[in-house]
Amino acid sequence: METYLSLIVGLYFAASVYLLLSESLIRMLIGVALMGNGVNLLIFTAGRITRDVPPIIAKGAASAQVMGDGAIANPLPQALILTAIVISFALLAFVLVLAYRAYETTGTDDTAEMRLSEPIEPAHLPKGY
Amino acid sequence: METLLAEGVVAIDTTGAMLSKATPSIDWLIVGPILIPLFAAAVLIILRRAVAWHPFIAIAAVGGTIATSFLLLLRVSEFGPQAMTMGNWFPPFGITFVADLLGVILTLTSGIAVFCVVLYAMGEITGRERRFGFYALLMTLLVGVNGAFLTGDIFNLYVWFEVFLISSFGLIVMGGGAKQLDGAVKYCFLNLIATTLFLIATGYLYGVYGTLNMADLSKIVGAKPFEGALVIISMLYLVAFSMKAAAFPLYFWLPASYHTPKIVVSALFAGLLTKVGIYALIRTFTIILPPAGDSWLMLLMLYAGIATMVCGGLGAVVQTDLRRLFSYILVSSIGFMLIGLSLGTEQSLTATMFYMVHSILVMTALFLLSGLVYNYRGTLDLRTLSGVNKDFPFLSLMFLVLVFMASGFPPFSGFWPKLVLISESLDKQAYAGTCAVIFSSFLSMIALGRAYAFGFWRPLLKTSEDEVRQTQFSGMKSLQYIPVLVLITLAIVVGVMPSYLFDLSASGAKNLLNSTAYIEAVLGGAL
Repeated sequence: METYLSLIVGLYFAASVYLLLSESLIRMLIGVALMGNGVNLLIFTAGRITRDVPPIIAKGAASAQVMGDGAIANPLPQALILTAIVISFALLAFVLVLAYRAYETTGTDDTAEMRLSEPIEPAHLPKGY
Repeated sequence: METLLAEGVVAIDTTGAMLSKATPSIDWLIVGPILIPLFAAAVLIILRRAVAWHPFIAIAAVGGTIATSFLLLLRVSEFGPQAMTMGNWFPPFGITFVADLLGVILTLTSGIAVFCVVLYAMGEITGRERRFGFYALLMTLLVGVNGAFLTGDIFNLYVWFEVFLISSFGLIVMGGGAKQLDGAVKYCFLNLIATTLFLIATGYLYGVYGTLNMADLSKIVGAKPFEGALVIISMLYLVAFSMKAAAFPLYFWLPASYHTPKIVVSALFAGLLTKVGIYALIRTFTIILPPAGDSWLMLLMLYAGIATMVCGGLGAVVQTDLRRLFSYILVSSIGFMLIGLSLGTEQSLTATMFYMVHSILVMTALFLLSGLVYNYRGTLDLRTLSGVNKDFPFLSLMFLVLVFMASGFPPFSGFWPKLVLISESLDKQAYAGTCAVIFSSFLSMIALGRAYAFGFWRPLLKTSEDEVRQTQFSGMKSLQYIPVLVLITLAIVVGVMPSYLFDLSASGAKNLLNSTAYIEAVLGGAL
C-alpha cells in the first residue's frame, strides 16, 4: 500500500513543479495547492498505513514495540497532517487574495511582465559629480 | 490515592509516560519570550480600535521579552542548556522547548532589534495601519521568531516558521502599492515553497527515524553513516533553509522584495528573518543531523556561501536604490555565515554566532536610517539623493559609522568575526573562503562608500531642490533618531568590548559541536 501511495505522492509533486514553473499566477497557485496536498499524503504514508486497529497499546503489553508492526495504528501522522492542512489552507487563502490584488493593481497575471519592483532598464549612477 | 477512585474506573499507571512533578516555576522562563508577545498580540487584537495604546502595549511586551531573554541568558550561561516539556509528557512524546546559548543569544538580540523597530514605528505607522493590525502582526512575528529559536522539536520548528511567515505576509503588503504587491508576490511564493520543502524533509525524517524531537534525533542519527535516506533529507533541509536564508542560487526573492514595503517592515525583515534561516541551518547540521555536518554537503555549502558573498557584493555595487543596495549587503553577510557554518570548527561557529548578532543590529540600523533619509529627502534613489551631509551632519555621521561596521573596519563589530573566520579558513586550507570574505568586504566598502559619496557627501543637486523644500521637518521625526542611535551604540559596545560576546559564542559553539549537554538537558529526566 505504501508503495502505491508513494507513487501518487510523486505524481502530485511532478504536477505541482510543472505548474510552478509556468509564468501564469493562477497555475502557480494551483501548483502550490497541489504541493501542500502532496506533502500531507507524504506524511501520512511515512507514518505507515495500518487498517482496522486502534492506536492503543493492548492491556498487558509492556510497550508498542512488543505488539509488532501493524498491530497498532500510529496516531501522530494525523496530528501532523491536521496542523499542516490548517496552515497550508490559511497561507493558500492569503496568497489567493494577494494574487488577485496583484492582478488588479499591476494589470497582469504574467510573472514575466511583473517587473515593477525590479525595472528592466538598467539604471546607472553617474561617473562623478 | 486509590481509595479516591470510583468503582469501575481503572487506575492508569502513568509514571513511565508523564512527569509526576509540576514544572519548576523557573523553567517557565524558557517559554517567556514566546508567551509574552503572544499575549500582547491577543490584547492588541482585542483593543483594535484603541490605536493610541498600541505602541505602548507593544513596547511593554517587547521590554518584557528582552528582560526574560536576558534572565534566561544568565541562567543558560551558568547552568548550560535548559529544557521544558509541554503537558508533562516525557520527551520525545511531549513537545520540548530548549534554551541553549545559540537560541538565547539570538532571542535577546532580536528582542532588542524589535524594540528599536517599535520605537521607530511610533512616528511612522498611523492610525489606519494600526487598525489594520500592524502591532499585532509585529508581535506574532516576534512570537514566531522566538519560538523558532527556542523549540526543541523539528515539526514545531516548522509551525513557528509558518507563524512568522504569515505575519510577515501581512506586514509586507501593508500599504498596498503596485510595486509593493509585485514584491510581495515574489516573497510569498518563494517562501511558501521553501517551507513546503522543509515540511517534505520533515515528513521523510519522521518516516525514516520515527521521532521529531531534536535531542532524540541527535542520539539516533548521530551514530549513522551519511548515506541513503539521510543524504536526501539533509539535501532537502539544505535547500529549504538556504532559500529562507537567501543563499546563492536562491536569493533572488530578497532584493526583489525587501525594498518595497514600509521602511520599518523592511528593517524588521532584514534584521530577523534571514537569520532564522541561518539559525535553522546551524541547528540542523550540528545538533539534529551531526553526520551531515561532517560530510561533503559542507563543501557544497562552502561554495554556496562563497558565491553568495561575491554575488551579494557585486550586486550591491551596481544598485542605485539605497534599500536595494542594503539588501545585497544583507545577502553578502548571509554568505559569511554559511562559510562559517560549513567550516564546522569551534572557532568558525563562534565567528558565525558573533556575526549574526552584529548583522541583526547593523542591518536593522541601516534600514531604519534609510527611513530617516527618506523623511528628509523624499527619495532613496542615489541618482537624485544629495546634500544630506550639509543639512543633517549627524545623520551623515551615523551612516558613515554604519558603513564602517558593515564593511568590517576595526574596531567596529564586523571586524572581529571576520578576523577569526579568515584565520580559521586559512588553517582549514579553505583559501577560496578566505578570498571571498576579503573580496566581498572590499565590495561592500565600495558600494556603501559610493552611496555615501553620492547620497550624503555630494552637494544638493539643482534638480532636487524643489522636492526638498516640500518635505517638512517635524519634531516627531527627530525622535526617530533614538532607535537608530541605540542600535549603533550597542554595535559599538559589542565592537569595542568583543570579549564578552566572544566567550558566550565560544561556549555556545562548544555546545553545538558536542551535543551531550543538549541531549542530557532534554532527555535527562527520561533516562
